[in-house]
Amino acid sequence: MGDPETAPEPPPLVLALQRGRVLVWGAAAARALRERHRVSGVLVGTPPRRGGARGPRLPLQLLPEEARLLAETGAAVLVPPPDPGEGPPPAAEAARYAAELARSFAEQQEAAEGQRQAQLQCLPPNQRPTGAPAAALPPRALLVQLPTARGAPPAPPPGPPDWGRPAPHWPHGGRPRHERRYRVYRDLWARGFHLTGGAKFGGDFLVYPGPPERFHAAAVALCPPPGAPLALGALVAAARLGTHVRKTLLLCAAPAGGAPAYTSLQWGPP
Amino acid sequence: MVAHPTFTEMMSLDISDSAQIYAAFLVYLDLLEGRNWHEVKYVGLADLQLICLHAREREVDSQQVVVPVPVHISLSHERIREIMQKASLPQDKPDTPQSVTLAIVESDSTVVYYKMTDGFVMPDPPDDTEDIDNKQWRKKRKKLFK
Repeated sequence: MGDPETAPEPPPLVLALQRGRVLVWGAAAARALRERHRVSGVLVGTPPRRGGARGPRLPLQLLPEEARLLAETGAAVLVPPPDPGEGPPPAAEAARYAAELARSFAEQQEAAEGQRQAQLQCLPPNQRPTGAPAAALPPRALLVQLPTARGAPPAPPPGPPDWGRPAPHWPHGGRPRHERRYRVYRDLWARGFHLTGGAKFGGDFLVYPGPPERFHAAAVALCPPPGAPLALGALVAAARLGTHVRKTLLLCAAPAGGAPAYTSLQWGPP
Repeated sequence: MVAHPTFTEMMSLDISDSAQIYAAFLVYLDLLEGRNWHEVKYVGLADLQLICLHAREREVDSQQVVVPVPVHISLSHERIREIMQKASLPQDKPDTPQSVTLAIVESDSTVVYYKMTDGFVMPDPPDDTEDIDNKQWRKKRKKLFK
């Protein structure tokens, strides 16, 4: 192995943008995010209908804040899906696809016929159909394989989304809530913490001192809008829950261009 | 209760919100009579329009700041930080973060205390895992020998 100092920077990971969701389809990419970038995301794949291993599956969905951090640090590129509004694919490509389908159909028909003949051979001779021509496989029975895994982006990815403006596949652009959460996420991440979504405890993020697979979260982070009144009753509820699950309630403020400020709240009968 | 000398003294401070004064008085009584704290003193903070209390849990402990607030009010994060900065006492050690205790007072004189600290405070680790293990082990043994 080469010296890590001189090893070339690995190529940026590909994150698929889909109507505001950021998905990672590759297992290696998901692992690299977890191990190299302290970004865990959530596995949102459909569990198998029957059989197979239980448990979460790919794809990995990232928080918008996680995706933006990766894009801004150059660790990943956000790739929107190919635009369907650009008109039909070029004629040559369509013809190639049709020819490929026809070839596959002929192959499948031949295989089906072979299988049928093999089964007929197993029947006693007096039960074999006589003279009836082999029923052709109807074209709608054609099996089509759709490749879902892609090693590389289909086209040179365009630049990152405009962070300040919403777009069809990046609706978070310019939203105050996203901006607020992103600044807090980036600051806590830069301090070496691991963060995940905080919905489980009614917060914005959960803050882990180490990898979430091995550590309990140490804090529930709340990012209230600047100047927004926080009802004391709700604050008591949040802090009391945090105490019960051994998490500090962390009020976070990271104003644009200002120093971030954190306030820890812990239940403490003096 | 309103005739209590401390309450009348609190009323004479330059604080306009009577709910705030009443909350402060309830916490004053809770600390002094309910929890037997020492040297409980009240300090009016006119620019915050708050009364805060300085007290020691035990005689040897350092002074703590308790800020009473009635439960029905709302505080923004900025206001919380302003309270923390203006009400907290200068620390003995320079690297200890600023910290005050918020005493949230219900009208039936229930008081809940929350410690607010500047920065990120890690929660306490579990007290003694050995003890928990023992408890579980005892339970298991009970089950086995039944």
